Amino acid sequence: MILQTDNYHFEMIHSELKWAVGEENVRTDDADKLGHSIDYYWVPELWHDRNCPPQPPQIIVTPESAQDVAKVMKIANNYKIPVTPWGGGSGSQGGALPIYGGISLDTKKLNKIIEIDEKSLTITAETGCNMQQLEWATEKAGYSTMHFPASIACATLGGFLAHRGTGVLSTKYGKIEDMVMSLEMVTPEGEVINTLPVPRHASGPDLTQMFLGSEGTLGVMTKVTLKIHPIPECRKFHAFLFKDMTTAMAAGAEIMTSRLRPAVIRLYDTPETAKLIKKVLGIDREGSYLVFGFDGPEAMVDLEMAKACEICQKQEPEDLGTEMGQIWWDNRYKFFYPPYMFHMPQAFGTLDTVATFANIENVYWAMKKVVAENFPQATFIGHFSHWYEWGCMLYARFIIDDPPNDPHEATALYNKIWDMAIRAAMANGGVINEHHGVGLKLGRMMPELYGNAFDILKRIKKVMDPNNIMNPGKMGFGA
Amino acid sequence: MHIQTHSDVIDACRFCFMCRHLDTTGNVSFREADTPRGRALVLDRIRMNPQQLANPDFINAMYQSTLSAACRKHCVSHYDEAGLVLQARHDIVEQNLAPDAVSQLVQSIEQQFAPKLIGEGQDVLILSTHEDAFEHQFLHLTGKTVQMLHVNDTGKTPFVLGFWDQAKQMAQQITSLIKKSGCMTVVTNSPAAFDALKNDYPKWGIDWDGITIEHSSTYLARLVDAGKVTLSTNDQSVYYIDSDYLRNYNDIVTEPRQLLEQSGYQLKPFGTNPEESYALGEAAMVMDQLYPRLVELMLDRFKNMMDQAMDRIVTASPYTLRILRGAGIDVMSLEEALLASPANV
Repeated sequence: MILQTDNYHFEMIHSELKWAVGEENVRTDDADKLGHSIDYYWVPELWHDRNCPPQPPQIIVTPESAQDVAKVMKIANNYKIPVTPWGGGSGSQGGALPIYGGISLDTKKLNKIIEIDEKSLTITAETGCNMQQLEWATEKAGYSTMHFPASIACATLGGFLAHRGTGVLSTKYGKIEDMVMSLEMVTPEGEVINTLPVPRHASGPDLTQMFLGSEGTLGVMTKVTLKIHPIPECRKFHAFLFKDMTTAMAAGAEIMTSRLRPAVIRLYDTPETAKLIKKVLGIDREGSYLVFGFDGPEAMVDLEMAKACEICQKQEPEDLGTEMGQIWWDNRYKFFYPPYMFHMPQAFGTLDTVATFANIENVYWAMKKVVAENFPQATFIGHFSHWYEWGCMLYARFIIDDPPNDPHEATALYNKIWDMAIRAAMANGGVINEHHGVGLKLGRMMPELYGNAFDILKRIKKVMDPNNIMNPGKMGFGA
Repeated sequence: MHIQTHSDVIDACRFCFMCRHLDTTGNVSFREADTPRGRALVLDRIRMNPQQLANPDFINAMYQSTLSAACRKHCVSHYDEAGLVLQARHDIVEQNLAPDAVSQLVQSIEQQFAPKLIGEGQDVLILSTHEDAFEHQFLHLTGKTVQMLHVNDTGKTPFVLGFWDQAKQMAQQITSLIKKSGCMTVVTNSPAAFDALKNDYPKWGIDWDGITIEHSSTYLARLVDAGKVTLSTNDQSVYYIDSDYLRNYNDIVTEPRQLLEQSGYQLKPFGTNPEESYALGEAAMVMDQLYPRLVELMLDRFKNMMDQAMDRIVTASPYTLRILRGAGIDVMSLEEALLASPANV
């Protein structure tokens, strides 16, 4: 049901929600609704920039407990009102946009840290915790979540769970789905459930992993237990400049397949080295910049670092030393602040793809080719982050400095680039995507990505959410 | 519109989330509108559609900001979002759209404005905006005889509420009295007054003609360094709460801590991080009067950040001190803490 606000029925539902979760937790003010109508996805930003009317929710609800969430779900189900969960609103895929109006369920008041278990090294917290605040609190207790994404300051813990987020140190500490022990979840019909308390078991398929990445389409995650880690004795970095991306990729892949355990590896292609590395780090050189870091006991770090440097030296790169690696680490978030981040009037998108080492370079070249041949107005740059034993993620970007002024035309162009580039990636073994999620942006690609297996996902959605109230229009599930 | 002077800030902040974890209001209201991004989005809408300035929800979003400037300090490019909000409030006032409660507050400040110069010192003039014992504490610490200027407000409150003409008139009167005193150094323990005289007045065309404006912490730190004031040993542990106006507007971070350490205090880090504002809305001047519920929520957050109920707090902000004391929290002003050292008791 699309809620209209100019009738008394709206007031009836408004009152019912206030009665259920308290007056302070139900809001309809224009300023806050505007804030909930735009996330970090370029299209709503463009819409706003071109002074098009916003597409806000009718009501913002800020539950303070899982029980509050359950009450909201029951009311929403009763009237078949769309519910779109909202955490920090910093997702890049439009996943939190209330495109069918209704309720924006803002989880930020679910922000309690419930327990730090120092015996098992886990933390249990509500999912509305701001990630930076959670990390600071964990560090105060002497530990770290080791989850350091660029969006650490803006996103909530639930946001990372909802779209399988990842942090800079993912190579050693894993993506968020590797960090999760168990979840509390409120189903679309308002039932509070818990998944099994440990992630390794042989008690059937794993519900925790099924809910992770469901982007609010299967319910609302309200509480999570995560692994935490001791603060490492040291963390060291080293950087090299390779003559090209291929030699740098060979070095990076060998570091991983030799089973060294870097905390992070990041490799920038030559255009991004020339553009961003120069702008942010001040390294004005031609080539492909590769940086990696190890952490842990110093003796082990030094040993692994020496081995990794040995692997790199085989490709005869320029050794930029530890300082140029440390500078990268110190400035790792700077890329995302204005004016360093791409911004209006530019059109830009992150063609996030993940593939095996056997395929990842082909994915890169296929995407680059398709963008170059079809969209000469676009620049294509990329870096490879989040390296695993079997492959890595390509963080490719296209940038158009002067997109069409007309928002419809600009959106059409934008979508066409996505369609062609992502199809080129999939044709070469790439998967969309590694950590940004699907949301509104890539929903149309899901049937192609999954093939006939997508029908299973749709049936799960149908069983969990028979009235399709949860985040309709996202992940390819339709409305 | 005045917000156009900060168009670069609107452009930078409207789609940027990178400092949202530090917005003092946003951290307790949890509203998207109470973040630099949310406010910049609102002001971008107004920039494109000026008639929307009259939207009461938009006006409220501007007045709910604490102006702590923690976000500006955090930003790698230091975009002046607090300055943008001040311009927006100026626009609101100029178009006669200020909420009644705001207008009445300013009116009351104007009515009570009667600056009074007393005392006989030649060098230093103490400016006091609060009914506290600062002059006596200052005398006790430095042994100096000083002139004193008592004011209910330096114009800072009307200024942050958007009433710039009234603020400038008050500034003119205060400046005349200071110049009349013949003192070449003005010392105040109020971070807000310090910021007004040091930073706002010159922007309003006031020339200090060589008069130095100092906050009491930097002034005392200099005297201690020069050996003119001796602080003695005190072995208590305390938590120092930064004033927004000192830390985020004037980069005065070291001196208050240095004074406390020279007095023998062991400083413990408050809360979980050094970036967040715990000043409870100090930079908004009258947050407790306009938005008591928000200040109540900020106090709850403050209490949650305390390591234990018996934590001893020191702050250089008379506003923060008043709010904390009102909530029954054990708190001292910087001068009280320094006087509590055995040598000065």
